[in-house]
Amino acid sequence: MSVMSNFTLRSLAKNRVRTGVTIAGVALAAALLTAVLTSVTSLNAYLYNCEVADNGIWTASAWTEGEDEIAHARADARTSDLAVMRDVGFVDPGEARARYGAYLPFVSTEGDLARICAVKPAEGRAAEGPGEVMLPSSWKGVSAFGAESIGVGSTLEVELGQRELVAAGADAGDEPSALAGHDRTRSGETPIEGTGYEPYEAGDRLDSGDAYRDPQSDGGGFGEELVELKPYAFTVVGFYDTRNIASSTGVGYAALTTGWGAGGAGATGAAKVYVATAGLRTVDEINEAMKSSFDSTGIAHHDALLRYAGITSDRAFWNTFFQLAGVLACVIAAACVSLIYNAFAISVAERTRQFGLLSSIGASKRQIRRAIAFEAAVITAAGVPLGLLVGIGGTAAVLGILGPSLESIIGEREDVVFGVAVDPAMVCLAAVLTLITVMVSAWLPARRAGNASAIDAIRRTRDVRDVRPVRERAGRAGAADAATDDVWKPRGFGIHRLFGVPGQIAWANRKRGRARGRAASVSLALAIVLLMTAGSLSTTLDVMTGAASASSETCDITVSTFRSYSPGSDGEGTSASDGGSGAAGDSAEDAAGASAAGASNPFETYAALYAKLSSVEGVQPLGWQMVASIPALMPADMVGSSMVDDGSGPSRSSSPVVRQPDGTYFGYVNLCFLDDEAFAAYARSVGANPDALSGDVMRGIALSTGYSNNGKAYVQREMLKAPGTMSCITDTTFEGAPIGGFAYSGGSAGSGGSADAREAAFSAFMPSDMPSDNAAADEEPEGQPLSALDLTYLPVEVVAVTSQAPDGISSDVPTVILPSSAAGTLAEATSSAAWSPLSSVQLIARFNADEHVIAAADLEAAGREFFDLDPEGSSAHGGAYLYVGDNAATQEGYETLVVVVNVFSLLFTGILMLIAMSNVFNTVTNGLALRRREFAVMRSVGMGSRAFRRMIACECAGYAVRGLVPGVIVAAIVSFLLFDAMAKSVEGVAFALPWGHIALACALTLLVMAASVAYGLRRCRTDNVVEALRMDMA
Amino acid sequence: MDILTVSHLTKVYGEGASATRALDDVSFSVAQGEFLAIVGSSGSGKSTLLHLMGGVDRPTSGTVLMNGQDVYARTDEELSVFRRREVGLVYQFYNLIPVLNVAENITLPVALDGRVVNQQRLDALLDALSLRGRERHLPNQLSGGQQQRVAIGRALMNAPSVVLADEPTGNLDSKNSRDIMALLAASNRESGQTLVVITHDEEIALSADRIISIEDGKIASDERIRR
Repeated sequence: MSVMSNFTLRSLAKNRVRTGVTIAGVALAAALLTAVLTSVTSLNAYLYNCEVADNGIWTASAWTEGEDEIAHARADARTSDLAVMRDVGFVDPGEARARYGAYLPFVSTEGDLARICAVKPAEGRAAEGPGEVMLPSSWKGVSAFGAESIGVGSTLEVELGQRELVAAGADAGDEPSALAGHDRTRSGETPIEGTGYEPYEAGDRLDSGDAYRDPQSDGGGFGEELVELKPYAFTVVGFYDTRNIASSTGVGYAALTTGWGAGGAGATGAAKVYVATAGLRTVDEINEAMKSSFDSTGIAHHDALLRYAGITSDRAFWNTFFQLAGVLACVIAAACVSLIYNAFAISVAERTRQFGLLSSIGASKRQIRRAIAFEAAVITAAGVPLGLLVGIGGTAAVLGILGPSLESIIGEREDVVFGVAVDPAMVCLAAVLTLITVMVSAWLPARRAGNASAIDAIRRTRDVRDVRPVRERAGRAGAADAATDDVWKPRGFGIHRLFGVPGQIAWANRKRGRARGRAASVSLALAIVLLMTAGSLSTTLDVMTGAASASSETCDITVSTFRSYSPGSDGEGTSASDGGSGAAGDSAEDAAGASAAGASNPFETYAALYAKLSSVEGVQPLGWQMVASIPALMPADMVGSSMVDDGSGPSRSSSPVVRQPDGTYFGYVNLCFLDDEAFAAYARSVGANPDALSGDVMRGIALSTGYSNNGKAYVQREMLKAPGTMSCITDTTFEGAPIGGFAYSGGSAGSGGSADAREAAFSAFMPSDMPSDNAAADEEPEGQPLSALDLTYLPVEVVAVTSQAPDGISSDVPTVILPSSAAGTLAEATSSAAWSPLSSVQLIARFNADEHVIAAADLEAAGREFFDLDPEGSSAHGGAYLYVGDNAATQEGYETLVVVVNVFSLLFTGILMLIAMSNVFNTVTNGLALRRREFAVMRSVGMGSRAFRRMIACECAGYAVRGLVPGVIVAAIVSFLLFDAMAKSVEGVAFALPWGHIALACALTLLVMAASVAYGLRRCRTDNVVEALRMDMA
Repeated sequence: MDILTVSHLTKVYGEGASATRALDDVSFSVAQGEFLAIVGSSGSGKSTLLHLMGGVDRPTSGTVLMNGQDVYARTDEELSVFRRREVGLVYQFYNLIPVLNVAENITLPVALDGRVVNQQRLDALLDALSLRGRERHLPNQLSGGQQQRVAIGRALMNAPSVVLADEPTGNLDSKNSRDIMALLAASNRESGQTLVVITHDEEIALSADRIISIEDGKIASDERIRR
């Protein structure tokens, strides 16, 4: 070992604490980089495993009709395994066609389908012979093919046929040109150059990879029909879930059987081969392997798998991912460079004299630089393995805790665990990045050490040179009276009075070792900034997740339904319209829906529905509300500023109110009816007397404010501002005829238009003239102004206005809360109307349930039963609109998200804290260590312990002020930037300096500084004064 | 024959108004084997002169020739080699490396040169310096006189042609001073090394072959002692 290495090792050993802190810093850097990179590989591995679970391990697939091609592929060393899905025949599903695809294709499988294609039985087992079949789960319970209800053990009587292309042009004799020369490459396949096209001709057989040929959509060129129909019987042995590439064919999900040879049942012999390749690293290699076996027109790749295996790169995915990891890694690297650089800079500064002396006796710059590089290498060698272990262990621990939550966010798969996945290449990358970080950090100090002045070292002038001469001061001092009284002249804003001579020395010291002092101040400032950034970040994330989850309900399950009330018809029409924008009350177009209650009053219907829902097992009914949307005229003094469409800009509400020529305002209001008990409780909670509000009279409480999302952010708006009486319009006729409804044309006439145009923004239309949503603006028929209509009113008295909404009510239109007993009045008032003013009536019923998933399903079933809705059908088509919201599940999702966010911000905070704190510790302790000799001198000339401590305290205060003040300023700016970013998605949150975080950050920093000083001083104090004075080196 | 020639050597510290002329156009030569004492009051420029002769500092102007070669025509790297091979420096404050023991401190220039330590030479030095048995001691375990003897050992280890000593006895009592000077004088006599010593001690100065007196950065007198 060279003498310089020897020297380096001993220096490291002598300064154990500093060495330890530096190694810890390096280990921290390595751990963080490893954690970031390992998280990336772990996520990638999880996604890969999910993909394998979903679609199997195949990498490429091709169509073939040749048995020799399959044999060749099987024998190829590049093939690790393959599965064959061979066409057997096609069955016409008859009535079920629309629901289950054009045909039920029967496919015979060979090979380990479960492993290669992830087609696994969800129930029962896979077919083991030609007479058995495994069906898609969607066929379960269906009555078809001679089975009453298809299940495991059912026998299917089917007629297997083959698909034949038939000319279906207007003139069938013409040579159809639409598909002549058609490329047979199927969707998802990459054409291989030079394999040409296979022309289609009438009479050609189609296989399961071909889409259904519908003459209508094919431009009349071709149609297809099933030929060679032969009867077969299959026993159903299992069902599989159809969430899979391989089980899907061009004409529907396949029925999987096995043991059929090529050309079975007169099939084309076409087979799709799924090949799992081994050891191939590029798409070209995979194509090469496939082409060597298959003379196919195209090869399909398992893109998702190849992406996660790193064989193809998908920019969209990797950009976000790597950008995030890259940013994190950069932040970490920057923080670590600052930490490690500081450690090295101090370590070198401490030994500057030694390096100078070495230089004076002939050590070259190169030797000295190499010594520092060696030091860096030793520290790296010690720190990196430690860091890698900690990084991988930490990631494993975090994923162990957060894995299940992350799985539920990303998407869960059975048997796939989100655990740590270690990629040796990534670990090496982390090690190399750390090494680079260390080398970058050591480079400047090494240069400085190499340039250490031999002459300064010999003359011990280092400290002297560090003090920048302050010429003017010196001049003034010289000119001033040089009386002895002035030797200790007052300085530093009266510090001497407070702290005496020690304070003065500290004040004088502030000018010495500027670089060192700055290092301490900078590290303090950095600590504050890092801590506050972490704090603000977690606050920001909290606020954002809080805002997102605050909008969710306070009960486990919400059942809501929209129905419009149409007294003109027998039952109730239904409407999915929200009653605000566009045409309202277009009940004429609604399919006749419910019949269950047959009541003429929607409120009674809803009461029956609520009773039925409440009887569902395991649910605890919490109450219900009904919201009726109705047009109304309001006096000007009631209307809140946010509701008025004053033409100042884009419509601020989905349903604004419009000023009328007589000074009143017209618009839709929500009348919200609570069951009497809930209403009484609500009225009391807002300080109103429920007894005065009950009864048949429409008397209620209005909401003053509401939140709405203006497309960019949540904003609060003022809806109604004062009590008063509004006139709800219960009937409208124009020249004796009922009108079709009101339409709001605010989009074109309201904003920016004249006041007159705005006043006319709501107009009444006759049923025949109703503007349709897709009508062009210039075709819009002229509406009738309100003044031309005969209106019938129902007064609704608002006795109080409050900002406190009842549970579950949130609205961005004027809302009045009424007791349910008043609903009868409204029903009565509208029952005889020629036109239904109730554009919609909504029921919101709220329930709690322990088993919320089951309860939600049961409630939905009960609701559908009540309205006689198709159990599977789309809710909007099937009749009444029914929505069951599982708030508990949503809430669980939010809670998971909040946990993940909190854990990550906690980790981030912890790590930044460690970096910041070790930085402060390093600078402060070493700053003191460098002055041991000087301290000894001071003590030797009689400075007592008290005075000494006071001097140090003063100096620390100086550092703290110079570090904390800029630190707090920068941190405040960073906090504001974070707030600004957040404000873009959540409005109405005022920026407040996070004083708590500032105080905490300052306190923590000062605490660490105090601990560092205490430690440094203890080291100094253990020095014998004489020893320290004799110390050859400072 | 002159081993060391100093011509028109000037060293200015600082710039502008605060510039200090530590050495001002100094010229003289030192013959091989000569024992030269440099005397002068504090701040007269003695140490600056010594450092410039030893290749530790760089002059503002003027040259130093060692064996006819210009010391400061060398690069920093060559100057490092020059320092460890051709001169031996001894300081008032021993300036030992605290983490290295006695033997390591003495052999440091050899080690820096990448050569194998000549154990016989080290033993001879340890004997001559009366440091036998203290090879493994660290500097802070030694007395001042012992530390200075280690520093002398370090200076002599490479058998340089010139030994430069800056008040080598300034920190020592009279007995230790006599021992140290005896060591240096013996080395000067026995191996024909040139010895340049800065001293305030009249006795030491008078034992030299020649005394140069420096005042305000200039040579005030240059006398040979006749015995």
